[in-house]
Amino acid sequence: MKSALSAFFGIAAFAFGLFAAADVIQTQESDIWEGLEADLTKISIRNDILTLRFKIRNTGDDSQTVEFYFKDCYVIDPTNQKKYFPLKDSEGQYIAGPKEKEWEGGRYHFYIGSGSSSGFWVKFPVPADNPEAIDINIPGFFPFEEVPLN
Amino acid sequence: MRAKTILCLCVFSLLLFWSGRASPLFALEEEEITIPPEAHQKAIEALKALGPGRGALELTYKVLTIEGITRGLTARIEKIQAALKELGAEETETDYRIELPGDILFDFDKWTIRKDAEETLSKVGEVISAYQHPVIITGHTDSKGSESYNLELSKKRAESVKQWLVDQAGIDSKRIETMGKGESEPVAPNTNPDGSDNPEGRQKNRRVEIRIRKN
Repeated sequence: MKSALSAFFGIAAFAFGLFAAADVIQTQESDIWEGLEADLTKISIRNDILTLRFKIRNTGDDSQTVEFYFKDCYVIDPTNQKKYFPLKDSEGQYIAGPKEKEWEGGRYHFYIGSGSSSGFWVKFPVPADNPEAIDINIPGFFPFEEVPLN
Repeated sequence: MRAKTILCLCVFSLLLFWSGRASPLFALEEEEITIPPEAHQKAIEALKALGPGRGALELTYKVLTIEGITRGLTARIEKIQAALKELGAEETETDYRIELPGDILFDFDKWTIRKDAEETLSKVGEVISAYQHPVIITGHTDSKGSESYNLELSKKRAESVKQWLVDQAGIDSKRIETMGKGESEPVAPNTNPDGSDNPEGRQKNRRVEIRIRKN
């Protein structure tokens, strides 16, 4: 029975780790906020629209206030040397969220306590030349490079 | 029996974690990044408005050469080369040798630099400035007059050239060494074979030699 329990917990831990790892496409550390890491958690493409989801995790001991404007996010098609910005609605607001303020097309502004996390999403056009991979830049974090689109 | 228990526990654990991902515990993160349903339609309209280029900006970069410095250096080198040519400088492995006629630099029996000579000496100054190495200025005379007098005159003339270069061309005086050779090193005969005067030869012997070390 003892060995059965060990096996149970072992497999459980393995299964948990497997699912947890599968959640993240790429992680980048912040170059501004100590202890923060951004996970690119999901990429979806529909109607030539690229939707990116991120989760910002605070792995540090101190709380952090994260703030950036969506206008400063962009995607690069490194093969064709082109840069794409988030899509904007008819009112000039970036199609991204959650947004705290409306000016400058909206900004992400969250207080993230130690051990906590917060997510956001952004919609971009799929690069016109359909590259196999892109680079993604989020203010305050090192760039996500060679992110496959397939 | 034991194997069945282990298998059941494993299946149970997988189900537990699979279902747990949809439970409120995990859904909390999902809720944070819920995308409003209308966002996609807005995005489609935004994409249409962008046209075929999709709002892309071309990434451009420039390779900038430090043109100012390059241009400045090139111009300076060309100027120095031109000056050397005009001065009739002779280049050896170790130095540049410039020979200036004494009659251009000085009036007869004088060691004061003539006004007309300043343009020539300015060019010498440019060349000396281009190299940070020692310079030797040597005065020579013809054979007219006593040997000791000519030696002294040649020293004074070499010293005058040095002083002009220090005062007018801003050359560090420590870089320049002077010497006088008097009439001891003629480059042409002072007299003809029949013993008569050779003015052309003497004119060539009245000179100041400037050696600029290249390293």
